[in-house]
Amino acid sequence: MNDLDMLRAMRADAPSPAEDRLAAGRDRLRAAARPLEPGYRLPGLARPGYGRPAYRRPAMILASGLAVGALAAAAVLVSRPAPPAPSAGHGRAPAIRLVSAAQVLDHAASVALAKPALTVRPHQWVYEKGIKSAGARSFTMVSWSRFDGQRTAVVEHGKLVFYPVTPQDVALLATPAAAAGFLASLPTDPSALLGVIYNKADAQPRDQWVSKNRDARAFSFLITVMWNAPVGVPPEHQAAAFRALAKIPGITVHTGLTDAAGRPAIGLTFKTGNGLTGTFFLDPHTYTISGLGYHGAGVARTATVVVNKPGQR
Amino acid sequence: MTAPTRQRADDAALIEQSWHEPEVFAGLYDRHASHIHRYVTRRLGDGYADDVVGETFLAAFQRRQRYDLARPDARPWLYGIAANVIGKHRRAELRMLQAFARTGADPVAESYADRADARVSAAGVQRQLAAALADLPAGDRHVLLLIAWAELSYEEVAVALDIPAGTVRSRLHRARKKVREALGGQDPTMISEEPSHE
Repeated sequence: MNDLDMLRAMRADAPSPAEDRLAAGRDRLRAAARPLEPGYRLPGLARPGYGRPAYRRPAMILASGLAVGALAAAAVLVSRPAPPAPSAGHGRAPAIRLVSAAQVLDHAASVALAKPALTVRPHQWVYEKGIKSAGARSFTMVSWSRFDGQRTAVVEHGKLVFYPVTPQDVALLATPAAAAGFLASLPTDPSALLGVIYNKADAQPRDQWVSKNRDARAFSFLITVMWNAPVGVPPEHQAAAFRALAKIPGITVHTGLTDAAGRPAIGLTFKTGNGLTGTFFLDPHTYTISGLGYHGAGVARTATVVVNKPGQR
Repeated sequence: MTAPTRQRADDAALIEQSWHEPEVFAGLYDRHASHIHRYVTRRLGDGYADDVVGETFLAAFQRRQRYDLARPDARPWLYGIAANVIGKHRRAELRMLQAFARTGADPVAESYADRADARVSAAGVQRQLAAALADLPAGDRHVLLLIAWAELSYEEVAVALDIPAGTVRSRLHRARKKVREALGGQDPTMISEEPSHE
């Protein structure tokens, strides 16, 4: 009996678990994996946040597991028959490629600057309606987020249900107020802004990296924050964010695409050498971000309205 | 655990499918949770196993888009994630190993077996093993126990811990040397002990 065999004998009587011991873990997993059913309620969760049925924003995009986890945890209220197959830009040849990403993003910055600033008061609510699609399935999501970040509300079984915003949501800049506040705190010089973003991307725990590629992480971080802040970002900061994106190497532009809601869209894609791909879509008329796409799945926002009470649309 | 009898897609195919159909991921749990549960029980005791397994699979689920589809067997990947979660309980693990080494009573074994069961009988050698395990760097302990207890190959351990195969070899070499030293230089083959399985 050598040392390894002796080690193999140590605690060798440890039992395999009885089936009931595994049930709770399976339930937790299913809860995280299956929030797409209408009105699905989580069985007693050990920790808040996993699969919480609210319109979760992606913590990170760019085909990261984390992102899809968050989006899968995005909840959903109404499921409906699949609409015409959405295209998320991935795996589809670009129809036309006329312009550079820098040109498109610069134009988006100019359009943003030309719009009046919209002030959102802390007690107001941001109503969002969106569509998430994966494969042939598609779901409509609606949510209300109080702009001060205190609560979010979704509809379950026809009733408005409220969820508290967790400190993690805020830390991940996953509420409109946190994301908008973060963007508004950044320098309006695009290079300086991008410097902050790279620092943020570098500071993420390694096991949460979406990619070993630093540019990919910066792209993912910035896009996610912009997506999470549909309102409340001053125009000059919106413009700076678009111009900062233009400085990240490796972004390509694809026209003639459609977003997850089936609307025409301009796709801006970051692709790394190891096959990770993330795309965000700009509305070709308003040049606002209309959706995100990754790995053939996508999410699109079809309405964003500031209202005074949850439930108003 | 009931053995799956029907034809089954390999783990990679299942994980790929779960990218678009998240609920499919539960199939991976049904295949592997039991083995990982036993491994965690062996390292941290019964009280930790349910939570560590649950957390491992949730983390795996959230990272499923990063799974390397060229690897049909997901066990190394899952054990690697489990190693990370186990690592969060490193101090508890060390405390229990040190207690075992000091007293001859193994808190981990007691967590899953009857206390009345006289475990001290086999403890002579195992106390020294426990002391040696407690003295290893965490990374070396992972390598050694993934090989000895999870029965992974060198290559699989390399995948699990995301380190080169050469590093697995050198860590294993170093860990085994320490274990042999802890056994006091006596010829281990002379020690009679009754392993309860295999």
